[in-house]
Amino acid sequence: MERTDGRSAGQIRTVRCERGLLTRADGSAQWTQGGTCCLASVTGPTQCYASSKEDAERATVDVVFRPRSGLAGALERQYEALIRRACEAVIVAALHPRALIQVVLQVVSDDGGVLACALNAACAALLDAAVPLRTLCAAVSAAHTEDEGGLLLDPTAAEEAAAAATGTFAFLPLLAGGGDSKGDELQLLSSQTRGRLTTDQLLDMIEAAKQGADRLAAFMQQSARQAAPLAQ
Amino acid sequence: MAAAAAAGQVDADTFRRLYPDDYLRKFVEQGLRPDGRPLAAARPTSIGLGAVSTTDASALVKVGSTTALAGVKCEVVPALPEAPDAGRLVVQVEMAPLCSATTRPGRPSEGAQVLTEQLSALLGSVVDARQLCIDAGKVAWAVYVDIYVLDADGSLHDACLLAALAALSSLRLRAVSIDESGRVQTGAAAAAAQQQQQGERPAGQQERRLALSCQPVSLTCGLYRGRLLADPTAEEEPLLEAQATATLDESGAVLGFAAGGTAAVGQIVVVQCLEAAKMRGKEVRAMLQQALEQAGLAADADAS
Amino acid sequence: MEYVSPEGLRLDGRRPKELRQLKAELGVLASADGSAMFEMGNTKVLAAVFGPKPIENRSQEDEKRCLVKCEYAMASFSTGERRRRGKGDRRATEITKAIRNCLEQTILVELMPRSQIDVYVQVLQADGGTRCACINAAFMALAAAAVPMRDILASCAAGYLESTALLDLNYVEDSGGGPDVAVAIHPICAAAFKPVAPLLSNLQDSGGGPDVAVAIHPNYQDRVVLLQQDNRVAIETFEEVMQLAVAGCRAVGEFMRQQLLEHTQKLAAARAAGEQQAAAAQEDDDALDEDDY
Repeated sequence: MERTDGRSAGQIRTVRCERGLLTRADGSAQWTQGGTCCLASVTGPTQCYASSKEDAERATVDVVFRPRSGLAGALERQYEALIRRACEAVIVAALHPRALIQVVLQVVSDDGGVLACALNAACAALLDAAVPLRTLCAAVSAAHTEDEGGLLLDPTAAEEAAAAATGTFAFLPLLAGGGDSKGDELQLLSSQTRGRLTTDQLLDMIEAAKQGADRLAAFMQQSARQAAPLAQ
Repeated sequence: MAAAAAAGQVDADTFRRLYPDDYLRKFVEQGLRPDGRPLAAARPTSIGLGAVSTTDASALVKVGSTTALAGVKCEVVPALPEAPDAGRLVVQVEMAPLCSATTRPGRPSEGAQVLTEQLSALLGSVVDARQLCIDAGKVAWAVYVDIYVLDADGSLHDACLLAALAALSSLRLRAVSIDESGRVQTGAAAAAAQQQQQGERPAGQQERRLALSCQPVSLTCGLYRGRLLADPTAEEEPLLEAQATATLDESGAVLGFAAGGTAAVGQIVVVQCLEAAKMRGKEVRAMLQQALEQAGLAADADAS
Repeated sequence: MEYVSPEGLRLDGRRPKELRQLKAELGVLASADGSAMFEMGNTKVLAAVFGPKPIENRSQEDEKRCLVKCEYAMASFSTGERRRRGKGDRRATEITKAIRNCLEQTILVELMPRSQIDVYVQVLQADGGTRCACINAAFMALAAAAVPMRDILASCAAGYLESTALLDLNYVEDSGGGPDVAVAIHPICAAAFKPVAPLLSNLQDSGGGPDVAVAIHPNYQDRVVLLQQDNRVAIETFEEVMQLAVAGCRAVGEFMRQQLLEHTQKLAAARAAGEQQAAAAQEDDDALDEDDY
């Protein structure tokens, strides 16, 4: 089945990752996936601005999600919570007790899958800021449509609107040369779905998203190597 | 002997405060939870309907000591130009400052906003807004569902969703009548006005129930040292490696699967969560049915 | 509208000097140090107490007394019309201050220097007299949290409609436009109540405008903790209404004392049972102890 933009069902839109765009931040990345684009900046590890946020045993991760226009509302707070937990999972936070790592995400354009795009941008920016990471994480959105076999990876806004159910899934992907990843284990880090799915459809969706996330992570890893050739 | 017992008592309590992780581990290794539950069991749950008489429908739900109070109020409002044939369902979750020692008054907390967002999306798909239309393009119902978390002891999504579902299941939209001058009356006055108007164009509607497309019930499960703990408490939640909330309806369809944590989970865990949520859903729906029957709403509940 | 029928009955069937049904439940919230649900007729209020605990904001620390923080909120569905969540709700701020003022005078703040007590009051259902119900609920929650206090704190309102003094107004009576006096007292200390004379000058000074609120610091002679009044009232009438409100406070105070006694007895019984169980479980404990070390 061919999609309106000529992609196959399991194909992800063209991905671009530019790093170090912002000079004042410790790290930044702009992640583009087709018509969706997010800019992420990372500041830190730095001193905590409020002692109430300080943790004596690990760094605190703070995520701010700014929509393309308008004020942040409940949806943005939900995204912040999800991205923060995913970042906490990959950052080796115990290395910087009492410190703060702040991730700011700005939506540049939104054509579907903005949460996944923001999460990927955040991870790329963390890499750019050289924050010690346990592994990479990558997120992919998926949509389920009513017509047969209607599982679309990385849907556009139009496809999302027409879908019966959508979901965004983040994984700790299988990395080339990665040491401790456990074979073909799923490694689902976070998930969020909307709409109605059967159990099997959900599991298929997660599985397909996993495949996509592995490809995205490989790309992220490759782009990191290109940016820092000395690291090899 | 008594003194030794007292000393032992203090030690267990101090141990719990100082080493919460070790404390929980010792229990979980024995296949138990600190409150005496088996790993896969949810806490005792109760549903009380009609707790607040100033609302159109209300429900007080307790899951263990987690307490959520949902109140529904309906107002007749002008229809929106962008959706002339639909009403509005507005869901709001508030964490009352008294729900835990760490909740502060003022700006709604992140937790409350995340719950608001999750439940609005979920309930928006359960309640078809078109049935809230009274007179297309003119007036419609606005149904406000306010959920107050009164005691936050973990797994808030489950308790809030159940409170909202129970309140909406027992909701009766009042009779509405609109006379020629466009004056809107609700309740008993409207019913009387409709009696008078017989034969003319019946502007307005009879008292009716809200139709729900399904009965979603969620269960939160936590992953702790490779084991799955159902319905975690506030004490257990920060110690969990990952947490997943699965929302299923009576046909077993998944309406939401929200997972997050500091560790990744495998497919087996996802399947186990969905399975546990399905079992829990059966149990909770039976409880809800019983509560509705007690409130004298059962016959209609079957029809809807 | 007729507020008092010729037979001397009110809209809800009460006699003029009758309180609504009182209900109190202690320890309703597990996560709070003390909590209480207090109902006066259809007015339902939930209160929770956290503390005494170390002070959170060092700049507010007082080396002589503890800080009492108070927050009052109304559920959006608690009233007839749905309330929008409004920032800077002046009424809420005023009630919060009135409650805090009462609590500061009741809690033995000087016994807990450098500490803080948070009191949260949530109105779940409002039918007049929320201010008084909130004060009563907050007191019960403090008692449940075993915070040291100088006396029971009891509050009740009274009004004057159709030449009749009415105790404990409900919402309809409250909005009837008559005067409304809310009083909180320390009933045991105020057993001999004679405070009216010094008040009158205050009232006259304010010119009898629609909002006369007087609060009196308690001293040894009079233990009126809060006195607030809406709308204009003749001095002769004021005395009658005030006496009625104080009588109401005493009745509420007596009710709360009974509830607290019962609650304490229940706790004592539970504790005795717990000790027996502990003795029985001694052997298991020993086994566990070995496991620990």
